[in-house]
Amino acid sequence: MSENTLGAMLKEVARVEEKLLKGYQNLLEIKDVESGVTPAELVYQEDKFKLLHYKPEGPDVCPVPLLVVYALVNRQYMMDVEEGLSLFRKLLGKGIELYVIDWGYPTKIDKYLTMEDHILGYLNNCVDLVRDRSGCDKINMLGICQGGSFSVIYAALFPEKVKNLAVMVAPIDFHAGRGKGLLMDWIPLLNPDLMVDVMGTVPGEFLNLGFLWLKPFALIIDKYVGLAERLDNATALKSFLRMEKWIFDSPDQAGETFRKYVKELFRDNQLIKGEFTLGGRKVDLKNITMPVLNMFGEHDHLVPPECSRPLSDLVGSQDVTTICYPVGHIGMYVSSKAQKEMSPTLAQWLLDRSGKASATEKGAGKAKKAKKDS
Amino acid sequence: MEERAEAQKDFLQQWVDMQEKLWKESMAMGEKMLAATPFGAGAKGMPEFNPFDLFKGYFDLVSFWSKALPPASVPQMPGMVPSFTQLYETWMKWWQGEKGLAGPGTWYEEFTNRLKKTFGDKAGEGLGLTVFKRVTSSAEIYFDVLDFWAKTLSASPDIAAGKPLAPEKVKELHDQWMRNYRSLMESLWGSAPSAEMQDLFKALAGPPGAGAESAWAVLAPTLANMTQLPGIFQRLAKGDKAAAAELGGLFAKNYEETMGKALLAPTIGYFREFQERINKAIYAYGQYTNGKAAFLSFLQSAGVTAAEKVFQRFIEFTPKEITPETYKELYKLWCNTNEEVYQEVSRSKEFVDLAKQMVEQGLLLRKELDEISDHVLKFTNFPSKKDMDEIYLAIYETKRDLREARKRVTELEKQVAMQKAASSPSA
Repeated sequence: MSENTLGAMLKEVARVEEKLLKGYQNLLEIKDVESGVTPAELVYQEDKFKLLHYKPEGPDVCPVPLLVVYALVNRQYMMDVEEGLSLFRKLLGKGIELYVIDWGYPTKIDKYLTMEDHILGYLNNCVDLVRDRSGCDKINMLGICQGGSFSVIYAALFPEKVKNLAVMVAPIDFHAGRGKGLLMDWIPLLNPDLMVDVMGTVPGEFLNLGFLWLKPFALIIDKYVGLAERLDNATALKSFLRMEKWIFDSPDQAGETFRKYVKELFRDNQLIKGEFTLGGRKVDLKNITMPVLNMFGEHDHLVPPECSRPLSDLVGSQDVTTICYPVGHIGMYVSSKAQKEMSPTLAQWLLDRSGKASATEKGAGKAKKAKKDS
Repeated sequence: MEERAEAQKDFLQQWVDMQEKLWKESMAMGEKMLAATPFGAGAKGMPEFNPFDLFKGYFDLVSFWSKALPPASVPQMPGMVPSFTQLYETWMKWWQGEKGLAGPGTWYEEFTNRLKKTFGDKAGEGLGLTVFKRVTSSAEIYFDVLDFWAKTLSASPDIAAGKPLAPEKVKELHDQWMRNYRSLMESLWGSAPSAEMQDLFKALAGPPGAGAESAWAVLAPTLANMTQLPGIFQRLAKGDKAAAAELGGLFAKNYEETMGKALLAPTIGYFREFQERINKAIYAYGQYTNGKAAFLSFLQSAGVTAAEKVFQRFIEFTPKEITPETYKELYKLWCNTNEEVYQEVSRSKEFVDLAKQMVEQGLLLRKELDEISDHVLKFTNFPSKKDMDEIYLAIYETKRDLREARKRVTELEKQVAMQKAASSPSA
């Protein structure tokens, strides 16, 4: 090996070693990072399911609270992962009161939990509780990713309880993303019956392996090689660790819910065909007559835009706003680009549709409720 | 007549002996399988495969760095300076051309081993440490890639000097490239056929005794039948991805027609039921291993395609001088090209089919292992998986009924309150 070639290589080895050395102590001192940065109050709990309440800031409060429905895969604190990048903080700052669902970590005992239990049970109980607490007949709902599919199904079944429906990177047309997002190609080929029958709950690690395989060199190797360059920067390191914690914080999936989701939505695409039923009730997207905000990412490799966009044409609402941001799936929650545009747009969209009219409606809601009760 | 009865007795005795031996060997092999398979008795009873395990072993390097730090930085690690000096001296000697000393890759390994002996593993847990392990594992890959580039650049001083290459030099470089590249990629995906497959053959062929001999007698034709193997391996080496699928199919076909038949054949004896379950588990393990071998072979053949692409781009890469940045650029070129190739591969029908097959065979193996565990637990006071499943269902149904009852009670309470309000004098 020639001296200059070897010398250059050894210099590079030494440089990376030095970086790693500096980062070593930094990393070992960090035992854990917080899951979410905004304080919340636990207001409801049923089995492993929890409902968290976030109080809005400032004097002007939106009269209609917003219920955030996240996916069963990964955890809801993604939207509150860091001070400067917290969607929750931004919405609270605009006076929007938040209720956020934490689905919890299913264990073997939850094998039999169905999609009905999640949507008609936990979610519906939650909506009723928020309605009671706020005195609103209808509340605002924000569904994210798989939580977006759940919110759409819920709004179609209970349009009388949802005032405005916003969804973010929500898979709706599960076949439109084929050939564009690997997950959309792979998941329908799984054998959910065998998986659930053998494993009971589907391990989060298994799903994570699938996510990592989407970009193996970037996600398994290059990401960490890149981190080595920043190990001596404590702030950048902590940011990385927060994201890293979230990425690998993958709850197992309740067996029966997974089975129905994969077979009837991923494989048979029943939702957009009008064939999907829940608890014996047919889910008709035309029942979604409330205002709809449909947001998705142009470069989303998990839920390609083709999967989310069709919602806008399928609902019965006359007030539909469709926005495609030039970001990927995760970038939708945490990129500064999306944060600059998306959170103010969402907040304004909600405020415009929950303002004075809503305040009147709130009173009317109470009266109506009292009348119904009497 | 008497002779015939004696022969029958002998035959039965032999059969019972063979069953007993097979059973004992199966138990030993079962334990080995449980330890080997990711679908074995893991902490959460699920695949324990961690992609980072592919690159494990470099966490020990941490000890070295700790040792190499100035004492003021890490006062808790005394004695690191002399050790670092010693290693540095070894390095310098090697650089100065002293014979018998290894190159940078081995040198790096030596560091870790030395430190492992001196300090052992750093104890402790936490997010930071977990991430550090991931970083060091990736650094290992990074350094392997650097090592590879260093060898390549040294082999061709013309490229390093930014000069065009003669055609024969390109050919020579290409051959060397493919050899080195293959060994680099093997550290990522493992070698084909998989180590487990080879272990299985060895386990079946190795132990003396009638049982093992019988097993080997059944297995031998499987191997003998595979005359197509050399051709398939040649195609794999050339990057023919379809050959990987053929390899899996060939193993599966031969296995099912020979060893598979024997494992699924009815058995007799005291432990008949248990023996059959064991046989089914071994059969499932064979299937799973076949699937895994085919999947890994497929990834390797994709690696050959990537190697060709990286080579083409490398030939166009003519640095003015070799600096540390040159290595970073070459690493990026390697990383991005591989990502492109594997993205394309992941979309292919072969990949999806082989991955699906491997996962399903893993699940079937897990199912068979559960059956064995349930069968054993049947004779004890411990609940089996099936028992627990029934309990989970009963709890789920009870909770659901309770929820319904609660809702009904709430509704009734509301009705009573309304009736009371309606019948009160003030109403």
